[in-house]
Amino acid sequence: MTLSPQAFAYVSDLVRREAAIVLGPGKEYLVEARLLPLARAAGAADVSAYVSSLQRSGNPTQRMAVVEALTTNETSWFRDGEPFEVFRSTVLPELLSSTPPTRRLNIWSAACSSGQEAYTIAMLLADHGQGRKAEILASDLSTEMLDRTKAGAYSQLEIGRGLPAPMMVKHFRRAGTQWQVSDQLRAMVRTQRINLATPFPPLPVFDVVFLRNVLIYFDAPTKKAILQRVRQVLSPQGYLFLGGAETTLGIDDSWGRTTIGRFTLYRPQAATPGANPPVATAPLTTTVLPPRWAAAAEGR
Amino acid sequence: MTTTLDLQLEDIRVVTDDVWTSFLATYGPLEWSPVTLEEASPTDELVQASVAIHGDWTGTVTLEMAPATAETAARTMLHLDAVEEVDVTDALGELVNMIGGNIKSLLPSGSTLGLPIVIRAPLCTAGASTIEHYRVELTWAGTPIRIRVWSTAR
Amino acid sequence: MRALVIDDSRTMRSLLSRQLVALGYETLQAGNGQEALEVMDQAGADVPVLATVDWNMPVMDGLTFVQRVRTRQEWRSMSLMMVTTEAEYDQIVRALAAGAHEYLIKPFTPEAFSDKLQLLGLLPERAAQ
Repeated sequence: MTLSPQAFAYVSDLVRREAAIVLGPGKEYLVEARLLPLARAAGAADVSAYVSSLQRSGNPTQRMAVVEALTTNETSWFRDGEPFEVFRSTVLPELLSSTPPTRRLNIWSAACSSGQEAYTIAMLLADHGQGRKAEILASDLSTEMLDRTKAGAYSQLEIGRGLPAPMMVKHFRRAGTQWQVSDQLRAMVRTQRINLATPFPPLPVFDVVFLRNVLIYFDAPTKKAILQRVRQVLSPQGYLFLGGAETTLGIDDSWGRTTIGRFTLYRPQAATPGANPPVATAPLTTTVLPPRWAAAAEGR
Repeated sequence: MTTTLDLQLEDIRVVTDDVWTSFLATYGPLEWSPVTLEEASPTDELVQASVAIHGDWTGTVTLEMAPATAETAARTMLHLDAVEEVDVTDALGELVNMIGGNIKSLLPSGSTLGLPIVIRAPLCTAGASTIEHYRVELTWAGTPIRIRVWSTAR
Repeated sequence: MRALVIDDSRTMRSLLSRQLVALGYETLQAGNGQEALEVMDQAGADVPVLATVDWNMPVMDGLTFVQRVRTRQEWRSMSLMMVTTEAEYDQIVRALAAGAHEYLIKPFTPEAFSDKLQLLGLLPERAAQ
């Protein structure tokens, strides 16, 4: 019943090549749990049988489905802490001081999946935004994901993925077997179906765009086209957050890079003359360990 | 005062599913069973783990399965090739503790959870002072598993 | 780095210890809050960086343990993570108010546990993705 070593080797190799995500030894259960629904849907006897049939057929749609099952569900709140710490400590204070207090901040969570990133940003704005009006556009290709984002209800296992307990009790309430995000946060998030690979619908000018772990799914020309379209809707003083394994380098060279701690942010080139320009506020001093979110959330 | 119990079978299923997904997914998921534990059980003895909930509603949550199934669960949770009776008892106790604790969180707040008790019993034991309210028949690793929620008669 | 795993279930102690050891921790174990306090006293100046604390245990429950730890200045550096089946909103608030830093509801996946370690700054570098 357990996953065969051959099946695991094939899947981990596939995911490493397609999504730059390493599934080390001991992750067999993860592969098993995530691929079981696909194996079922395909009528395979078990996950190993499903994987070996995929290995034989090489069906690209199924391969992508496997990669997605092992990557896109990795939606977790602050687990991937660095981008959010950079947003809270550097980007947000900079935006608050450089824009008129009456102006609404516009932030885009692109390919939002079930909404964890959008609500994580909303929590940071609620706690550190000095009362500034803000809207987070959460977009996805899947209307099912948009509905989930709009609902803002998460299972116990989903809520367990890297949401600091002090923030959970501050922004969520229990509703049956689920945890419901507060109305305050829900009111900050707007959902819209957007296909990143085609021309965008009319959009506001964004101060920040989160486009994390999305480009990995596209080929080089599409990556370039997406980055160019994003630049058109991003304020010249705006910021682009990409995933840890992603870069604009060698794809679209009209972006400047700003390094804060170990994290790299991207800004439209004109706003950042020079190779590694200074940012307006002090950079992070700690680069080794992530912050104690508990302390941050309580303002201790 | 005993308030009525307002649970959905689906809630019990979700709670149990989460426990299995977290600790026992290696042997595949839980499924609804079309037959009862009595019909499906290969033995006439069961391991029955129970945990009490005290509060506005007072009762018990039980988890039942054949000894061989309980052993598989314990081996999986402990990552061991062979387990002893004491391991099986402890593992089943922790499983029912997690199911009971999460069911408690669906009840009016202020209830408390007892410590788990695990026994080996013949099929179909029910105390004379208890009323069965909910029953979820499941299968896992090709064998039957049952969750029941009982209230203590006043 | 040392971690203290407190749970009355041997299964849960073994599960948590196994994951902590895989992350490079040395683990101590205790079956209830009282035992845990004794382990802490024996450890002396070598205070564990982390305790995972079950709530419902015989002799001394986890909430009482957290309250006791918080009265001891020399144990201030230790991070306290409740790992419990107590899943109600009010209980989580109570535990945080008593001094717990994190709260993980059972059941949990191995990923959720390492996520919590990361939030506490206790996930060793090589294990962080």
